[in-house]
Amino acid sequence: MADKGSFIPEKWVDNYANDLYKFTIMRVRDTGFAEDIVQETFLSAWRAKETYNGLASEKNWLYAICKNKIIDHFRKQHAPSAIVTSAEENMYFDESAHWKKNQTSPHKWDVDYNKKIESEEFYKVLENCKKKLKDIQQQVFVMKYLEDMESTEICETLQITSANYWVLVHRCKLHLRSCLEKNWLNIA
Amino acid sequence: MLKKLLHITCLKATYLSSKKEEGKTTFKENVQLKIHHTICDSCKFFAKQTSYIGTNAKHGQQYISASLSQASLHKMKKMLAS
Repeated sequence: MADKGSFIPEKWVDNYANDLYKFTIMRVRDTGFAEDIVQETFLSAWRAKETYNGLASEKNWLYAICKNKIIDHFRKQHAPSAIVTSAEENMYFDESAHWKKNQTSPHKWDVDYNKKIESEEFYKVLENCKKKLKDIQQQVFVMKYLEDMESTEICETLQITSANYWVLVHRCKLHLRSCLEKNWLNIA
Repeated sequence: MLKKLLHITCLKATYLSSKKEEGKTTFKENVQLKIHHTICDSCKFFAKQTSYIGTNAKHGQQYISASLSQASLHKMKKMLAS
């Protein structure tokens, strides 16, 4: 069954390096870390190439290894003390915990919510907005929305409580939504 | 009394809408959220827009322009060949 024909380790760098790099940069932001992760992906795959059984395509197999490297990177990077410090919510809510009457409260968006976004501009702005998140917020966002991981698994990876997880998800959403509204839809 | 029981702030409502997305809200919280959304457009927009962002976030790889330098690619090839 194994389709060994499409398994060509000598061609991996030519065929996949830049795509894996894009995949990684969307998740870890730092170019140096991203390059290291791609390199480690190839190295691990190379060492394990005898065990490749053809169940997944060569491409999917490499992506799976890369994804594991990224999650490992998050695991090593976590700094629990820095999770829930200042009340970032104050940027958006007043002392009675309702939306501040300024440009940060949500406005109506003139979009079709059921349609997949095909706008390059959206993704360019989203990447920039993600850069403004704290590392741990961005890691939560990546695991939840890009990797569809369960919250229990995310908490375990980052060594955080579920209460902290919800605070982090909430802050990611507040920051990203507001940043996109301002810079993608230009609603001020 | 009932008003006090069912009334929540926008801070709480936006927090709860994330939990609801993962099916982690209680019955009481669901009712609180629903009532809040009937009177607060901002929180309704928040829930809709943030889930919209979340479901689309993973599809952007084709638009990433970053690439590795020729030197880095060469280094990786050499590393695997050795």
